[in-house]
Amino acid sequence: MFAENWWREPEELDEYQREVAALPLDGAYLISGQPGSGKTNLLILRGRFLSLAGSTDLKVVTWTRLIREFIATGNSKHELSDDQLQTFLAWGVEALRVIGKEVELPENDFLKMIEELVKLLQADRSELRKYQGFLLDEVQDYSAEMIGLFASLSKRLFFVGDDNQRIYRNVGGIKAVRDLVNKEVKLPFHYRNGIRICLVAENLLGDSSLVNTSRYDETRYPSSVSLEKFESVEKQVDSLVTSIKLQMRAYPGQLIGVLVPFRDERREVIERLRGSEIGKFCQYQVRQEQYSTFDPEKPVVVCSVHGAKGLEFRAVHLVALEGFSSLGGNRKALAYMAVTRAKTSLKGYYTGSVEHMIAAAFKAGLDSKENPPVLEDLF
Amino acid sequence: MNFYAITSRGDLGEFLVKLDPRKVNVQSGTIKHIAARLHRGEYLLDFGVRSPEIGDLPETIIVDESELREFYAWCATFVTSLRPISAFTAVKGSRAASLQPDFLAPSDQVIGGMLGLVLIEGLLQSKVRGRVPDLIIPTCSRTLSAVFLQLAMNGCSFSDIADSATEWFLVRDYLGAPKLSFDSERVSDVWSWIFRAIGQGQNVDIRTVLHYATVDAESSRFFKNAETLFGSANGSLHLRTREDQIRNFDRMVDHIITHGMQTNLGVAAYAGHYLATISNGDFALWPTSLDQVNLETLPLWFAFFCGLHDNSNILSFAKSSTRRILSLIMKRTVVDVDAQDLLSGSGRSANGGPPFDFPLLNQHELVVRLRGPAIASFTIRDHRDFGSASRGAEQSHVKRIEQALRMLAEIDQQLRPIISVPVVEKAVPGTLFASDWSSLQTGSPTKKPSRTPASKRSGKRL
Repeated sequence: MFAENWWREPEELDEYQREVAALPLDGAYLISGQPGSGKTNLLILRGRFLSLAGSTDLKVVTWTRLIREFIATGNSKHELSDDQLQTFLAWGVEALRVIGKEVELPENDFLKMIEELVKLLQADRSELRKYQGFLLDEVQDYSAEMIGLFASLSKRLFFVGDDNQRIYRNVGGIKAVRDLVNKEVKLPFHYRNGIRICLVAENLLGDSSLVNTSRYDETRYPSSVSLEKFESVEKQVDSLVTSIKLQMRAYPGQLIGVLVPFRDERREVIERLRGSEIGKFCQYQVRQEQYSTFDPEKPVVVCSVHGAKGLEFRAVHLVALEGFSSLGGNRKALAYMAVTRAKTSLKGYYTGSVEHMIAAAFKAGLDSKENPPVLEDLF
Repeated sequence: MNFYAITSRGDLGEFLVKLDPRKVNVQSGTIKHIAARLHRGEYLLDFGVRSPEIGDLPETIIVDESELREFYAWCATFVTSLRPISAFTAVKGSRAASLQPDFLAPSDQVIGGMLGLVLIEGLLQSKVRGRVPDLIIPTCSRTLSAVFLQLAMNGCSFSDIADSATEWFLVRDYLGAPKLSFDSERVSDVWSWIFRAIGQGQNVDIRTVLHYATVDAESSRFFKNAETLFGSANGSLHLRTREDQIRNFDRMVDHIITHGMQTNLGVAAYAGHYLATISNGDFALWPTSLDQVNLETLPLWFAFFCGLHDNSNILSFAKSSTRRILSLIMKRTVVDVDAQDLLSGSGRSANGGPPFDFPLLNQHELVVRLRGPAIASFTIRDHRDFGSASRGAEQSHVKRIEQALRMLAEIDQQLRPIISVPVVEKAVPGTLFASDWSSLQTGSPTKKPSRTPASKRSGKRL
């Protein structure tokens, strides 16, 4: 199920990724690059590297629980133990508990929990134990204060991130990292997004950096984008069920994402999916359903848009886009992050109306000319 | 090539014990020419393309045709263990060897196609039998596919491979292997077509396969109109998404069934080729080929053409799937033949002699050996038959038994490179991948996985 998400052979690395793999043992490093450039793969590889080199007391810290579980699927050789892969929240609580501090955090507000935890960690910073290494994913969403905290606890640091994917209000994380590291390696190519999906993302971003740097194999999997209006959320789900049935045949053994921005719509989508023909192939990775390890027998992952951060799917279904305009925070970055989860197929669904930013971006993907013919087409 | 001929059985015994090629006479020439001049008591040892060193074993021992059976008996009696012959060296009759065309290496595509068939046959059984724990693959180690693959990898001629196809069906019946759960007659036809097409040369494609179709008017119309109706598998399909392509494929299958052409082998081949082209050589689409239950040979065609595809990922798929299939096979497959009983039927008893072991597949401590109840009964039955059978029939029986033994030996070799495919959980501790981490650090180019058969890659087989 997850074989396509993770590198299995050295030959799969390009020259820039190889450079990262050969970085010295000591020091602090930042790896930056577009979605699909191999950052998370390199994070795991670095973890293996440090672990094999004897740095067993290290932590791979993720921003959300879902990306933690996703990374666990790539840790197939188990050089990293389960407790070495942690969310920031889990690590912070554990770090305080080690020095005898029990933590009570505000419930149901993720960002407030983080905020409160950072305050507690800072207060006891000098007492916190040191580590042989930290590896941080999605570093653009950390604050400068948080980065400083990690830097004070270890000398071996490895950060990966992309400023364009900063979806939380924390600022200064990636700048703080740049000030700190011995070296930054910029990954110039990306491999995940098909050309039409790149066009949608470029429109959101307002630049043209994705198409030109794509090494996606469009011949193998021609990409597609669609945005459709429906009478209701139920109709949206009915349509996506039909589409997913076909996609499960077209992309066997590959992940398909159903991303729903809001909790109420998510509940509705989940209920309808459960009663559908594809219900038994769905896993619901949302807080209300309790996050769990990825089930390799269930290719359809239903999650929030925020929860999809760091994940990738062969096909992405963005459901209930009508509510996207009500989301707080950096919505453009959130939309950019969401669409770049899709490798090959991106489908948007809405009822009523969808905000202009979204409509225009999908239109850019839809309006692009047919993919240019390949050599075989000439004969 | 280097060929070594030795002239007496005593020398051969010494050779097999000491494994010293300096003890033998060196002869030059092509193997077919030397084999044609071979007499009783002379043995031709073929080391293939290697320069043999002390400790090497020949790839093939060629024996005078009339002496083949005697040779096996002699080995069973006098060679301490037949392991070298069973595991590393094939035995061949001089007549067959002299008729063998000059070495013609199979293309990677053909090997890929073969491997596709190996996989799909196992997967088909898995599908048909339902639950995996109940999976009883009809001893894939005895299948045509495995034999062919091995033969192809060893550079056998295509006609040899085609002959083996026939042998396989005989051996399969002989050994009482379960039939494939779908119409085995049709499978035979598929193989027949494929090998006739392969026999035409290295470049096997849908045209060469369809060339052998007995095309009736209906299927002629189908071939003529298919591209218009469903799009070209080679051209415009590339402009469509995989989902659109699957829809087209579904329409094609509906059309075939609606028009009652599901038993037409050529039509099934076309559909299999179409799906393989859609998949762009990606074997992961095999479940889709299995979904079409009305087109029973579709999965075979799909697997074959998928393997032939330039972008075939069949070898990487094999790393994961073949391993699973083989592990199941290995738990189930114990080929037990009492070789001594068998040989005693020829008057050359090996009483008290060493067991006729086929040592391999020891991953699950499985020893494929020529001893035990399953096939012992077969040999006993055969001996009883011998008593009343004419001499010609007896020779025919013995020949077939010998063929079976040789095939088992070949399969014994064949499974070795497949089983030893590196997988993640088998990776050497201390490496990031299955290969060496140091090559990453130095930035030195790392070799891509080669499609060259293991037997060709390694200098030594031992």
